Amino acid sequence: MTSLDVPALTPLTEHHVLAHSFYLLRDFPGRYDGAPVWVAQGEDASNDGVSPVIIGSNDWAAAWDMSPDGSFPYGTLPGDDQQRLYAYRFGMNLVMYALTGTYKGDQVHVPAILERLGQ
Amino acid sequence: MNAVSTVTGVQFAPALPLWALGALTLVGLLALIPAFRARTPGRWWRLLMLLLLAGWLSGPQLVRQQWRTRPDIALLVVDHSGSETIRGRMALIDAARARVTAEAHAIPNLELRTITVPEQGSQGTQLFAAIDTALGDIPPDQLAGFIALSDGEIADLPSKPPFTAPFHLLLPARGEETDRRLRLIEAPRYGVVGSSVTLRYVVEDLGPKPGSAAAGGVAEVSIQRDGTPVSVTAVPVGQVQTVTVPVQREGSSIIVLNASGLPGEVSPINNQQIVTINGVRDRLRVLLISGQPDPGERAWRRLLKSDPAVDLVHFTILRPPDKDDLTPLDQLALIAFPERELFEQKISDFDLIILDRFQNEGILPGAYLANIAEYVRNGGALLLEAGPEFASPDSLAHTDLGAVLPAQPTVAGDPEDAAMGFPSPFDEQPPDGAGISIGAFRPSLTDLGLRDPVTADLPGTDGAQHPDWGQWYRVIDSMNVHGQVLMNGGSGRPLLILDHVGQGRVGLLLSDQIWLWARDHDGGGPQAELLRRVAHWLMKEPALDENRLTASMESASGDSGGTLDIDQRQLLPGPPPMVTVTDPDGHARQWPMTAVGPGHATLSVPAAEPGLWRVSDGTRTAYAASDMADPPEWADLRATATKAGALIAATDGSAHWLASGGVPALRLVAAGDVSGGDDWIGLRRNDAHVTTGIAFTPLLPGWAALPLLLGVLLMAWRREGR
Repeated sequence: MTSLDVPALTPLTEHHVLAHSFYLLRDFPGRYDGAPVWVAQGEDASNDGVSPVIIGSNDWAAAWDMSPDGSFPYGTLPGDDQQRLYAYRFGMNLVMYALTGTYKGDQVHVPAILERLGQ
Repeated sequence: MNAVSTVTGVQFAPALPLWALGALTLVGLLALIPAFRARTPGRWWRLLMLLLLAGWLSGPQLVRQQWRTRPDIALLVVDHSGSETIRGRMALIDAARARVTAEAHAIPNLELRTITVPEQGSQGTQLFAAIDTALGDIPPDQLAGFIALSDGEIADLPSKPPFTAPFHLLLPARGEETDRRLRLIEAPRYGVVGSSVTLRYVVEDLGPKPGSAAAGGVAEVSIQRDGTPVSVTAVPVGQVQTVTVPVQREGSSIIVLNASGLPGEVSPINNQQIVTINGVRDRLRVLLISGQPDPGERAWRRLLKSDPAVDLVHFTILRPPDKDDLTPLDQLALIAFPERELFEQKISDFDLIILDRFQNEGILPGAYLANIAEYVRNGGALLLEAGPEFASPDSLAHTDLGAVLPAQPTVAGDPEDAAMGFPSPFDEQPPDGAGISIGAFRPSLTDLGLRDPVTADLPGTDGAQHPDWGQWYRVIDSMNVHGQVLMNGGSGRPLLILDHVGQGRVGLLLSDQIWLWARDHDGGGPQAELLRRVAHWLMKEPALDENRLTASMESASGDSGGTLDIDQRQLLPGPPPMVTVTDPDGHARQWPMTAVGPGHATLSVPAAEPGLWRVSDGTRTAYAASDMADPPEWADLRATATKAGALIAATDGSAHWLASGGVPALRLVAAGDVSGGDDWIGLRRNDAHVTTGIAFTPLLPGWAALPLLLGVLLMAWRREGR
């Protein structure tokens, strides 16, 4: 870790853009659930405020894995029915975050900007 | 400078101290008493000898002083400031100067020193600063007076005369003059585009009013903006006026305010004021619509969000309407697209609309797309970044927006779709990849791109048509191309097209891979700079106009005047057209431009005269204004004796009008005498002198005293020896 240029981190909460970049998420489970997820503290304006790194140990890739026959090789723990669904939703948010950045964070400002237009 | 010597007195240089001399004389006299008692016959001779001896020892001397009279010095102050260049004042001044100099030469014991007060740049006439310097060399007891050849507009007139000698003012005019001026009270130099600035000015008539305009005058003030008349108003003289000027565009606008002349006034020069107002944009309001989440979107956001001057309204079609997977809406962070607000109510408030890979699959009603087209025609700015969706039958090119785009995709739209407004699943779709050229290429500049300021000199070009930029891999094929193709995507496929539509502008980038440059793929390229320039060109930044003529005035210090810098851009190949430069007096002159790069030519011409300069190259016209070189100098152009009146009175000086009374004669008068008349001026005679030497002549030199004493002694001896 020390050789990587990792910024100061903070735990991912439901207020972070990543928690609502597509689905609204409160937890970020993978195969496991409950481990903290870390994102950069603060926002770098030159990079649209996007965290350059997301660190977590919920083993999302294992939850997303699917055999050619459509079964899931890795069971989820503790194993709630919805856990895999939420793992997929987190993955979806991750992709959206990578492609749209903090776009969803803007949305709170849009009504104010629209209000200001033409004044 | 006469040397004079005068006997000024007799003094004694005793050979002995006075007490010794006195004691000696006393002893001698006492010694004579018995001789007088006894009435000795030689007694008178003895007394005479004693007195002679005492007289000789007391060393009587005749004192002779030598001194020199010193000349009276008069200072001739010649005003050569800017205001003397009008109405033949300089000729009168120079004639008077020659006359005064000659006359002073003929007066014995008068020395005339001449100083010239030059134009000082921005401080008005600094007459007394020059006098102060000259006075450093003139002893006050020789100062005979001042003769100033000036219009009396003196910026550094002291409240109390710093000298006592008479100050005579010779004015190059017939008498008190009248001048109308237009004075700016408030003139902002910057204004926000879209708002307006307020100018405040007043027209003033200075000096005695000519008979006809005695009752509260009215002046006609005309206002021009960049050479176009805006208004003509009659305004009362002496009342502050307010005029509001809308700021319509970025860059400088030149406003000329001109008051009608006053009959009989000295000069119309200061009836005109020129104000340069620089239009600046406050905040840029940009609407970015991303058709789908895409790495290009991040590039756009990084560019627009990092610019604090941009207010970004961004919408992304995160999920097209046909991809509803029945997830409950309260678990989705999707919001409705405020399309009516954006595309109907507020559309005209945006400075720039960017459509990034946007495809109209039943998202916007046709009317809103028509509104975007209308927005462009009415002067808006639209940038379309086209991805594969542009080559599909649902392309924006097949909507009402297509009419304002500078190119069409090669894949046709479905006429039925167009009619129904949404695609039908039963239509035969063209195969994927049709109308799209896929394969590595390096974006390059076209001939036009080398000439156009939007793409010329992009980082990494060095004037080359094929700069070493990173590769892209996809271009949307196009046809019916119009407008200016600035960049090619290999094999002559248009990549970047800019076009004028109505009053607005459109840019079309026929690839969605410019983000590769932002990620330094294959070395990267000037993504941010290119998009910035395209965006600002779309928003009509004057500096990026492809056909442009600009003129700017560079004022220089001193008398050398300013320089008019002309910059010309043109897309058409060929030699740059000649320009006609018209000076503030209306004299036109043709100049050839100097080419400095493809489509770019410059020229600098000297422009000494203050006022509005006009540059035209046949199709375009530019204006530049040089400020008055010395505003205080030109603010009041009258020749007037009233301003210096107090000083003249306090020093017993006088004022004379050269044009009507001629050059007055010079006289030296004693201090306290009348120092001027109708046709003469008096300079103070000081009778100053300096002592150059003192000579002492002994009245009783030794060679005379000794025989005299011996003779008297002999006489005494003979008288007594008888």
